[in-house]
Amino acid sequence: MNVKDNMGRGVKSDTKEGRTEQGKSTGKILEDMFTAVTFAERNLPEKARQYLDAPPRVRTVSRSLEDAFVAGAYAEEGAHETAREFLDSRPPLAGRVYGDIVYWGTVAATILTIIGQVVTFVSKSTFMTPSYVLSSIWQQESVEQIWKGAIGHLPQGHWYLKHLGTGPGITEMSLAFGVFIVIPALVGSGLILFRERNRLFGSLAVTAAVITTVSMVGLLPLPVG
Amino acid sequence: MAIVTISRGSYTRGREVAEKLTERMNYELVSREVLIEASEHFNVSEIKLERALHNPLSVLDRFTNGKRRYFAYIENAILNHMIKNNMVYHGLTGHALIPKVNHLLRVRIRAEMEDRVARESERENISKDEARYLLSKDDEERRKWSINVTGHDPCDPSQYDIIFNASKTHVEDIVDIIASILQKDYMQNDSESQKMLEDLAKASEIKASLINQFPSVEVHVQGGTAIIRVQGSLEQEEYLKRSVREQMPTIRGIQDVRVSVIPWIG
Amino acid sequence: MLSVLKRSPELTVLVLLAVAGYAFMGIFSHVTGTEVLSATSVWGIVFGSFLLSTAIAIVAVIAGIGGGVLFTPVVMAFTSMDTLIVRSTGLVVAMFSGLVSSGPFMKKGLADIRLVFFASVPVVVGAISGSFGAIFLSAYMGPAGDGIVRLLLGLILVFIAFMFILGGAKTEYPQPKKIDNLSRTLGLRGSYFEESMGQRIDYQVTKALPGIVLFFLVGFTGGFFGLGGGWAVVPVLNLVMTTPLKVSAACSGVLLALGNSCAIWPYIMYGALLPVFVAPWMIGQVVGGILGAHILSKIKAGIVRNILIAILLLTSVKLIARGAETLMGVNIPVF
Repeated sequence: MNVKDNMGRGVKSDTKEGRTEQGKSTGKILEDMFTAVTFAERNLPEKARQYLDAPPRVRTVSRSLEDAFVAGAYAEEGAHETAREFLDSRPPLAGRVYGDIVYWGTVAATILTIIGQVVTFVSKSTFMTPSYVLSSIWQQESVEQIWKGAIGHLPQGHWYLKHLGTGPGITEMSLAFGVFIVIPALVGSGLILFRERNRLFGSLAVTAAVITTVSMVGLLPLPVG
Repeated sequence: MAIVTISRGSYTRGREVAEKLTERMNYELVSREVLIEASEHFNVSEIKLERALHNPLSVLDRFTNGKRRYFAYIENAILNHMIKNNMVYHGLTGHALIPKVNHLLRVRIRAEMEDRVARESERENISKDEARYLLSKDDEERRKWSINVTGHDPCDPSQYDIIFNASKTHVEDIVDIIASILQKDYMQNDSESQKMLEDLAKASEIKASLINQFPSVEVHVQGGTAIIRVQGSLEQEEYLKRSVREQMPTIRGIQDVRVSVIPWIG
Repeated sequence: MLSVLKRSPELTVLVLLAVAGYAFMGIFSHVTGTEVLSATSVWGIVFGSFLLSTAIAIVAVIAGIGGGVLFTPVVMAFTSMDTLIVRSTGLVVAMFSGLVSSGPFMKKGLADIRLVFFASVPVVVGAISGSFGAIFLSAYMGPAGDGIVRLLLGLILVFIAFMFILGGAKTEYPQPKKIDNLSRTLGLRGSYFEESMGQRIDYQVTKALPGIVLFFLVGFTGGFFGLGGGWAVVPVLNLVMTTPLKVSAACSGVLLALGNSCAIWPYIMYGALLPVFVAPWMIGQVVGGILGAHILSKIKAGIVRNILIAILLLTSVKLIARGAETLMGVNIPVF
């Protein structure tokens, strides 16, 4: 079966069109996949797995293996074109990096928020106590009234950084971390796009990150006196 | 080896044509039987199926897809008869189910309104005005129903291979003409036509078994591959795919099942 | 349920931590009551909010309607809380439901990274403008500002509900009639592998300029009202820019999270994001969002969706009535 040839053609045309430009590592990964596909084709999936499991290819083993077997399955059915299209359409590295940073960052922020909530309830701190805040909200007090009742004025800025020893401070910091995570995801993804010579979209990602950072840092003054 | 679908309005002598043609060709006559079979196979009361076939779609039906399930059951029962060939089906939807099969003859029997009015008024013992009103209402309801369910206007001539006016042509002559057409070589089923019909029957079997859980399901079968499309949340794509595969009946000849989730807007 | 937890270890950790955390908070709480709320009811509100948020997130995932579209309008219609607090919390709800879904979409390659980054700039600019507008309105117009917000949100909600009912006239694989120069210059095209068809779907995006304007408006609406924007992003991508429906839906969650992340900062710095109130909603969205992707409800998803649409319609009536009441000083007796 000429799966390897078919797939090779797919990769060449890919490179020509500049669609999948994942740097030098892609070539190695694809090489691994083709070898694995060849093993899979010969009904030697175990050998394919062993081949991919062997170091130093551990980095992207599971993903490559999965792709290799799917492509191999198509190839075995004689659907070489489908196998090629499948490999062509694999998610770009920039997307995977964005997805991973955002997903795991969100999970981490959630864990920190739970810890912050626990500290809020079990500590004896009097700063923005849950009963005070919830009672005020319940009594339809405005944001301004609630903060004035607690510290005498609106906080303005990243108030939680000064209160990291308190439950509300930890909770707010965790929430802010969850919101912040989008910035490194944009930057990381943008840098990969730059590395892949996809400068325009890399710049757009970094621009979005910069605007979000401007918003985060507070460079634009709030429209209140 | 052919299939005849006879589409007819009330009191157009379509039933008579169907019965005589069946007798002449020694074919199987199918009409209400599909309701009974669908009712038994899918455990739904016959009355509900009957209502689904004859009552107009309500606003709620359109919003909830309430009747789609019953149509799917009836469609499956009709197609299960059709794959056996040598069959005459009379009633709604038959012609719309299999539009491109060589050995299918789609017949429409119509009659002049005055003839129909006279027959209804005589049989039901009602005034002619009342009969005319009831027939007009029935025609309009059937038309709307057909457009909603099949997407086709039953009055559209392009839906049929041959149309007879039973007020002008005698029933026996209509039967003669249809019977002579059925003898022609081009009306004999070939393997490609039969395969297409079998694929449609398999698709309808899958659809009927999934439609209760997935009301928006659409199924297409080609060769050994079943392509199933369901509407749902994109976040649940993997789960929906697995769930569809788990609930799908085992059908001989289907080796590959592909499920696609059409995302909702949200 | 156990199999779901096995498939997603991070979900197991989150569920166990959340349950243990709330139990611990209940047992070892040092919170004292006020004249309005007892210590127990404070814990009850926080835990109840977590449960409610988890349930909303699960239902939202099953029905394909963003949690942010549900939270803000319902709370704003049926409570008298300060709308700024509601909107900032709504942004958190919308953002974190978007974040948990966008990760998998990006990893699977369903969301088009280039399209997302193209739309991200107008979305974040719109979002930050929206949140500034909201803070301005709240600071300078007081109750009248709240009335305007409720009235406008009610009207938008009617539009959203009808779009959900009509399906937004979506097309699965739209074809551009003409490709504009900007889209061509930017190279706004992509492809994804459609497993059900066993082939790669190539698509070409068009109308980049109208897209930029519309994305700005989507971002502004999200930032101003604290509302999820999937209902707007999908039609813009699918109907205006001829992106396949699946890619549009996947991009919408990512863009939503991006826009909201930018919009939340002004609320944080103004102090409108009150941690005690927001945290259980955020935790619930993440836990429910991951959980929802792995479970299929016994009730048909279509029915759940229709119920939610009915709730949105009722909510819109209430919002319009309350907005009109505040602005015109009349009493409109609506449920």
